Amino acid sequence: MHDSAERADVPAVARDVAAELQALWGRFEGQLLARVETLEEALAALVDARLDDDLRRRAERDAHRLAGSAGTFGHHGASMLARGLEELFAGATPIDPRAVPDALAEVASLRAELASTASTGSSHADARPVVLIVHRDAELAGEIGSAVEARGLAPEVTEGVSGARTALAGAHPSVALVDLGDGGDGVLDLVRELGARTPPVAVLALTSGTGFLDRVDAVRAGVRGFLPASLAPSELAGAAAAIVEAAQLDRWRLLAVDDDPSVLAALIALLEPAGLVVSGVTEPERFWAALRETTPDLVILDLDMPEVNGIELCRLLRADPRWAALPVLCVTSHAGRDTIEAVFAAGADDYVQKPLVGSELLTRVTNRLERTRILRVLAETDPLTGLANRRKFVDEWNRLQAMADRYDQPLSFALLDLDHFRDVNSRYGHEGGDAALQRIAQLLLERFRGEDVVARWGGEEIALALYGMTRADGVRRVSDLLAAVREEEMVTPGGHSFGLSFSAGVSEYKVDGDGLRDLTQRADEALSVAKALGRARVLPAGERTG
Amino acid sequence: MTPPALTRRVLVVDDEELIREVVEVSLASVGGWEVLTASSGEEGLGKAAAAQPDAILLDVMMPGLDGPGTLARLAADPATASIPVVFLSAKVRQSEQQQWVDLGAAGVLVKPFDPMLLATQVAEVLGW
Repeated sequence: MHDSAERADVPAVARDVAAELQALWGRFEGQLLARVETLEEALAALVDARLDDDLRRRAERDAHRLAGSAGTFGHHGASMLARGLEELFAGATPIDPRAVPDALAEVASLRAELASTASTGSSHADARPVVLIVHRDAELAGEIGSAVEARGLAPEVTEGVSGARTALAGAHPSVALVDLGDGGDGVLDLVRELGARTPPVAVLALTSGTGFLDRVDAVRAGVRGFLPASLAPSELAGAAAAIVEAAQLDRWRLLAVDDDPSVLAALIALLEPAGLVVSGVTEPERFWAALRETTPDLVILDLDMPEVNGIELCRLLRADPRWAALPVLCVTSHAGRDTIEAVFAAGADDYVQKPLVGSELLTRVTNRLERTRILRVLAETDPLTGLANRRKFVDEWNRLQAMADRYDQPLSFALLDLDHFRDVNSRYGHEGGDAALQRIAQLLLERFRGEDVVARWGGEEIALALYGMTRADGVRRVSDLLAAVREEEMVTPGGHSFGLSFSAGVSEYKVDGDGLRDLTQRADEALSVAKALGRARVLPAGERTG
Repeated sequence: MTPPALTRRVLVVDDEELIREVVEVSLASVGGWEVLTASSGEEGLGKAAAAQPDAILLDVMMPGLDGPGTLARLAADPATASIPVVFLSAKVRQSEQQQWVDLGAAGVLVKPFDPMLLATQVAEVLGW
C-alpha cells in the first residue's frame, strides 16, 4: 500500500474496509454493550458496598477490552473512558467511593457514544471529508488525489461528468475540484447538481488560460471559486483543504481544560454529536497557547483540578483584554454556596455541576453560544438590510485580496448607488425608503453568494466584492442585477408601489488600483459618470464617455 | 514507481474474536497480506511452527499462556525463534513496553488501532 501505483485504489479500499467494519460492528455491537453492562453492574455493586473480587476482575477485564476495541470503530472517546474505568477497577485496594459519581457519568457517556454508532462510528474509515476530483487528465487527477490524501482528506477521483455522477451515488463530498474545460459536456449541469445537494457541495473550478470559458455562466451555475489548472497538485489540494477548514470554522469551537483525560473525553462525547468542535487541554500550562491557537467561542474550566486553581485561571482570563469577553463555563463537583459565589466573582458566566449530564451541559453551552452569536452578528451586520456592514466588508476584502494574490485570480469591486433615493424618501417617507433598501438587499443576496461579499457601504450605497471576476465580468453580473431590480415593484408599508434603479461603477484589483482605497475611488468615479449619463447603468472604471 | 509489496503472511494471536476479525480485515484488505489467526497462546505456538509466518501480532493479556509467556516460548523454539513478534496491546505504560522489547519483541502497537493504518504501522515497525 506504499507504492504510488496502488494509490488510486485507496478510496475503493477504504470503502470496502468501511463496509467490512460495519458488518463486524453489527456482529459485535451486542458484545461491546454487554461489557458496558458489566461496568454498570460493578458500579451499582460498589454504591451498595457489595462489589466482590470476581465482579471487580470482570469489570476490569471488560473495561480493558472496551478500551482496546471501541476506538477501532472510531469511538476514541469511548476507548479513553474505558481506559479510565479500567484503572478504577484495577488493583486490589478498596475503591474510593468518592470516585463513583464521576465513574457513573463516564459509563453513561461510554454507552451513549457506543449507541451513536449506527450513524457515525462504523463508517470510521470514511470519516475524512471527501474531495471530489473531476478531471479529463487521468494522470493529473491521480496526482491531485494523492496530494488531497496527504492533507488528510479522502479523494474521490473521477474522469468526466458521468464518472462523477457514479461517485456521487456513494459519497457526499465536502468540496469538488472540477476541471471546467470550456464549460461544455454538461459540466455546468454537474456543478448545478453539486450545488443543489444537501448540504451543498462547494465547487472550485479549474480553468486553463487558453480555454474559452464564460466565468459568469460558471458562477451562475454555482462555482464558488476559480483556480488556474496550472497550479501544482499540492496547491490545489491546499485550496480544497482551506474550504473544508472554513466549513469547520463555521462551527462553534470550544476549549475545555481538565487535567483528567476521562472527563475531557466525556465532555467531547457529550458535545461533539451536537456539532460543536471541542479541543481539550490536559496540561493547564498549555492553556494560554491553546487559547491563541483555537480562538475558542467558549471555554470550559474544571474547578476540581488538584494542581491548578480554576477560579484563578478564570480571573486571569478576565484580566486580559483579548479574552475578557470570552464566555467561561465552570464545571465542579462542589457546587456549594461558597464555590458558586467564587465562580461568579471570578467572572465566569455559568457553572455546571458534576456528574455531567449531557442535556444540561449542552443546554447551558448552547445558551451561552447563542448570545455570543447574536452579539457577533450585531457587530458585523447592518441592522436594516441584514447585509454585512462596512467593517465586515473590509475584513472580507482583505481575505479575498490575499486569495487573489495567492491563486492569481481576478477580484473586482463594485459600488452601487440607488437612483433618486432622496425622492423616494420624501415621497413615501423613510419607511418606504427602508422597505426598498430591504428588497434590494434580498435581491442582492439571492444573486451574489459563495465568495461574493455584499455590504451596505452607507446611506443608499452598496459595495460588492466579486472574487474570480474581472472588471468586465463584474459589469455583466451587476447589469444582470440592475435588470432584475428594474423589473421589481417596490411596495411601501403604506401600500404604495414604485419602481427603482441604481447606478454602479466597477473597478478591478491590480488593474485599477492595488488596494481597496484606490479601487473605491475608481469605482466611485465610474459611478459618478453613470449618474451624469442619465443613471440606471453600470460602468467599468476608466470609462469617461457613454 | 516501486513494484508492489511482496505478499506477507502474518499470524494474529488474540483471545478476542472481535480483534482477530478487525486485524484480519485491516491486514488482508488494506495490506493485501495473508492472515492466519489463533485464539490463544498455545494455539499460536502450534500455528507459528507449522505455517512459518513472516511476523506474529501478539495480544498481551490473554487467559492461560499470556503474550509475554508466548513470546518466551516462541524464542526458545528454534523453529520459531527467528519470526519477528509485534505486541498489540491496550496497555500503554512505557515501562511495560520497554520490558517487552527487552524480551525480544520487535515492537509494540497500541489498541485501539486505526484499521486503515494498521498494515502501514506493522510494516514500519518491521522495516518492510
